[in-house]
Amino acid sequence: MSSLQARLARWSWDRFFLLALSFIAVCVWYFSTQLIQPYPHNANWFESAALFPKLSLLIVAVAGLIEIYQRRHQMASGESEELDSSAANIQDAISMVVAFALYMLAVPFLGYLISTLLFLSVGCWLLRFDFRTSMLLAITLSVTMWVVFVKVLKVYFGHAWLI
Amino acid sequence: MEFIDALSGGFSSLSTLPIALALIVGAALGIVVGVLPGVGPGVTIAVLLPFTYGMPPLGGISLLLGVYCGAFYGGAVTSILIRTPGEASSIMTMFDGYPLARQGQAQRALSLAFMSAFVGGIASALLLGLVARPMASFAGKFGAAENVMAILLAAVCIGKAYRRQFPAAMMMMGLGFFLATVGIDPNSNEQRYTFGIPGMLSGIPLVPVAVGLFGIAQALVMVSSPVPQFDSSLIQSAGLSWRGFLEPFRYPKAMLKGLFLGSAIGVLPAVGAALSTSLAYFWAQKGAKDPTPFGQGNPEGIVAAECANNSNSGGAMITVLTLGIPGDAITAIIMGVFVVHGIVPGPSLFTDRPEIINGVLASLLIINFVILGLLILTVKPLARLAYVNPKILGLVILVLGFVGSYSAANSMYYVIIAAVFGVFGLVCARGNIPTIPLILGMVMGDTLEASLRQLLGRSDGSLEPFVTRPMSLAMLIAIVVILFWPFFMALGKRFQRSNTSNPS
Repeated sequence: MSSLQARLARWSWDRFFLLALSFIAVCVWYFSTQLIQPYPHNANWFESAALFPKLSLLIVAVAGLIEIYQRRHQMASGESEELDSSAANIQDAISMVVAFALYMLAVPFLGYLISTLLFLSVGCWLLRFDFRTSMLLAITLSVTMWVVFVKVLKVYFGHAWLI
Repeated sequence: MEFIDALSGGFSSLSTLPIALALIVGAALGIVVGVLPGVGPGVTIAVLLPFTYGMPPLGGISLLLGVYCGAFYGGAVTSILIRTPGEASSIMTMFDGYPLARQGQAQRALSLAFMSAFVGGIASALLLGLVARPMASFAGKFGAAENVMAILLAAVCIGKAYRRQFPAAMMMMGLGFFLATVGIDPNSNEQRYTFGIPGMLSGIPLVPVAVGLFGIAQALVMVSSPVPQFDSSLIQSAGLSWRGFLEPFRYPKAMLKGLFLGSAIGVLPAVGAALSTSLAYFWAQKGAKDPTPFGQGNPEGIVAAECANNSNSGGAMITVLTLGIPGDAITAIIMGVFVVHGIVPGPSLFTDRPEIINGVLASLLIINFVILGLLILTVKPLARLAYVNPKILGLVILVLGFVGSYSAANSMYYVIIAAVFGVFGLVCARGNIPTIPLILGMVMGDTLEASLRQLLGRSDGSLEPFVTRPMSLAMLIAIVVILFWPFFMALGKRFQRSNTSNPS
């Protein structure tokens, strides 16, 4: 294993994530001439529509690199200041994200009520609730949501095969 | 006199049935989410935000303010009864509230907490009424240079509030600034970073981003985390005692310390209630009247912490109303209601829409009375909400997050944004990267860019106005001092050390 590979192997995934964000910011900064249409080539720098987004991207890239350096030297705080996800089971979270994505896809075809019922049933199953609790929860919640949002608040979900 | 007029004007603005109903529902929801495990006011306000669009502006603001204030009260219930703070700002209440409850005085502890929070809430609303108008007339003299510096100062304060995560917070703030620029540039009509996606022409909307970062990310954490275990034996003892209600007034010093710190810190961007409660708690220890040691059921600890906790709300609204700068994620989302209704928070709001300002002031006052009334009626059944399985709540938040983001524009594009930012929020939480600065950056980005371009356009690209205008220069100096404070401290220490080692 080369020294570079050994060094990379010691990198935690959060530093890779920060690096990826900084890298994306640099790429977007670099390709701004293509990503702003039409690009104001002839405008003064201080009147350009690219000035502020480019400055923002610079902040993202530089601050991201400083954060990576701090984490590398263990200068950054290890505790979450906002949302504590330390006990979260990441597999469960991924399954729920997949279920949510399918739910988003299902609503235009199956309708809000049926999609919500299915999503809640699958969600309860993923969370290992017993069958009776799952059905009770899924039916009660989906019908309540449907009545409140579709019937009372008139949120329109478009034409679907079912309701 | 002007204050009394403003207050009576505010009461009459609130006297319509939809607004009064919104206020009561918001207060009730706030108390409930304060007690529910894992659900905070941020999640609730983010999910509720789209539903406020159809309401009159004051109705929407009152609903969200009710949730904001109610959660402060509700958080104390679980802190005292099950030693699990509903909100981060209720941690200090737990230190003395729980020991009191263990000694069989749960009702006294709850009454102390609620009355102290009530005093804090009323005092902060009055402070808002007294301070906001003079501050707005002062802020009215701000030009583009001062606006830029005020936002930059707020951004630096927010970053510094994250202490050692300062670069991460600034990174997310920068990302928020960038996201605010996506879409058609209002000045030159150029399409910026739309990637040819038609939905992105109108920009990345705040609502689904807030729903994703605060609602969906939180829900994903709740459904994937084990159910927390707690000692539920004290839940049955929930209740209130009239003697306990009057007890906070026996400790005026602790109360004043809490009020002072809560209001003062509430004005500072991003510092938040958690810091003010802990500072007030430790300050109250000095010269405490009650001989009970702190941490073993001293009532003054509860009084100082709860007063500080609830006096934050008024302080946080001062910067929103007078400068258009939100202090935290919740006030940033509340600012979203203003923006959606075409109301621009800032000094001009006081002359253009005084009924909104007066209405907010009156809402903050009434909300505290409504919450106290609701707590007196429902504290016993309310405490039982702590039993609710957070995984079920997580599922409900996901479904509400879906319909909330969809209904903001009846568009699946909004749901996709919410889902993407939900996953992004979860990844950030796992990587210990703060996401609140992103929302704050998005909210402040538009004003910052507009002011910066206005200033540079007038000065032909010269940065001189930043240093020639006294207020702007003062804020610039403040930014430099805040940014380089650790270096100044290190220099000072080195100087001191060299002096002690070489006294000659």
